[in-house]
Amino acid sequence: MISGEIFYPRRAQKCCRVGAVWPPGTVTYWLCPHPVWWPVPRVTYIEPDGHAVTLEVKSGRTVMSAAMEAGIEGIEAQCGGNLACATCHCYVQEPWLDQLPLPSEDELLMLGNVAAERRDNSRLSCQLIVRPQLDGLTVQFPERQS
Amino acid sequence: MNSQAPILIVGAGQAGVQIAESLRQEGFGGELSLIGEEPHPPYQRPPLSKKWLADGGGGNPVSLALRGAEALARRRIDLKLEARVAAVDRRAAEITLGNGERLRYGKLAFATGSLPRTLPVPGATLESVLYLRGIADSQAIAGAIRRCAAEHRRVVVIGGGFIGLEVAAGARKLGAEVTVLEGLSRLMSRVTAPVISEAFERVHRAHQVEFVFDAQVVELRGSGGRVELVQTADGREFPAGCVVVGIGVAPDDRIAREAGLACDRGIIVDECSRTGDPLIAAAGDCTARRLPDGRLQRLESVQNAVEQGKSAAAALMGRKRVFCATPWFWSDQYEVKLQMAGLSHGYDQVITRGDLNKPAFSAFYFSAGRLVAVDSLNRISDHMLAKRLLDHDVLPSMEQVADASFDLHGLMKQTA
Repeated sequence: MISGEIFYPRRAQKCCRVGAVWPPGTVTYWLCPHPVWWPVPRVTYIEPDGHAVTLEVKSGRTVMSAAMEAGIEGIEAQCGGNLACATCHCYVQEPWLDQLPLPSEDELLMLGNVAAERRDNSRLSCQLIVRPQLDGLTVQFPERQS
Repeated sequence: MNSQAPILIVGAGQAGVQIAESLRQEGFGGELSLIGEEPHPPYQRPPLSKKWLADGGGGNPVSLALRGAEALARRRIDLKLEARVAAVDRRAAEITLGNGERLRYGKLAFATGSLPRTLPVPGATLESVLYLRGIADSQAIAGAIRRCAAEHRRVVVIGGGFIGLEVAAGARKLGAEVTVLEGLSRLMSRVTAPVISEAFERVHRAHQVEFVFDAQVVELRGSGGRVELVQTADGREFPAGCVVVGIGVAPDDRIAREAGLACDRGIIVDECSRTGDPLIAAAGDCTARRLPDGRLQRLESVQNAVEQGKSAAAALMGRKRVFCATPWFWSDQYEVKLQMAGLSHGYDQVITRGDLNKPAFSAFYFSAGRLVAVDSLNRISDHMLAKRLLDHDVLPSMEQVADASFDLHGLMKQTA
């Protein structure tokens, strides 16, 4: 525990890699080689007006899906995560960009056509799957999505 | 009337949520209620026939959430779930719920969506004859498909449109054998050119889906109440472990019609989502939009629900917001992504760009020499470009599209 940080109990989820083991989803939780309870990762969303909201997002969920449920401003996600609309565009804040799996070819193509400015840290939030290793991930939503 | 009098929204889907949230953004401070029939908070429907179904329908409904109850409560949107609206009394400005409760409204919005068309043949009410509308339907279909896969029985899909083909693809992924019965001579014939239909037919055949075209289903038969056989007009019989019917949807305009609003297979609205009653707006699948030339347009898409929802909210606040963006649609079947921009209805010529066999190509639809729509298969950048070209009315000529070496992206940049 870092001194100065307020400690409070957090919900926990068993195993660091539910659904993350190759091939995905085949290793169920009682076969998991990492018998540790991990805290549910926290993701911080920065809305277009600069307002920041931090949510606990269960491992395996997408950054988009949790933002939609919580009604975060600045995301539309019209296609529901099917990589068809590019309206869940976000900017990944440092130091998290390098921690994420690289975008697929399709995601790169979609990113080439986002409504707001495309930056080096642009990603589609429906393609970002939350993992315990990403605890603290911070993303910012742009002014416009469509 | 006080502009802050309560507003009721009937229907808690994509359009309903959009109306509610846009009303708050437009500065509405009064009471706001969102009334939905299903037990789930508002959720995204498109994955129900696509990824969610192919993943077995066993996913947590939370992953589909459009807005959680807490997020709505934070915006002071009162979510009433499992509440059916029985009637609307426009003279008294109140609605009656299924449990007899009466709610007064200052203004009202319909976002009731659409209902799957039912099969008008004997046996259509047998068990294991399934339709897709909500989460429960998707779960039931996934369950029936898995049972078919385990019992080595065929899944018979009636209708070769979007829903039918997406369910067929999902069923193959879950390991079941699939037969698709289509009433016309090709797939998705109402919305796409033959070249797209053929490409999808090849993809599905490569995944061992069996197709029967010009199949008029006349009867479903079963034993013990469960469907076992589908019979067509030419006397052929198709054994079935379950039947999924995807023969289109009909706007759910019953309550509005009974309340005396003008309806013609959908609640008739203008380009700003206003109905004939100044206190009532409507948005999404349940509407039929009157175009300037008098025709009625029915769009069934998320984009339409969102855009009409924004217009409806503005209309309820006494403002005018016209929905004029290019309509777009998409479908996912196996590894093939179909994205459509514009409405191809009434086209007279189709020009393709790309590789038809892979498939990775786009079909450009022209009407009287003018580009009206583009369907793209696994050509994401073509689709995104087409949306921008059509939005900005920067239309390439037929010669330019036909010339494979012509850079269409350059066209947009020149005018930007």
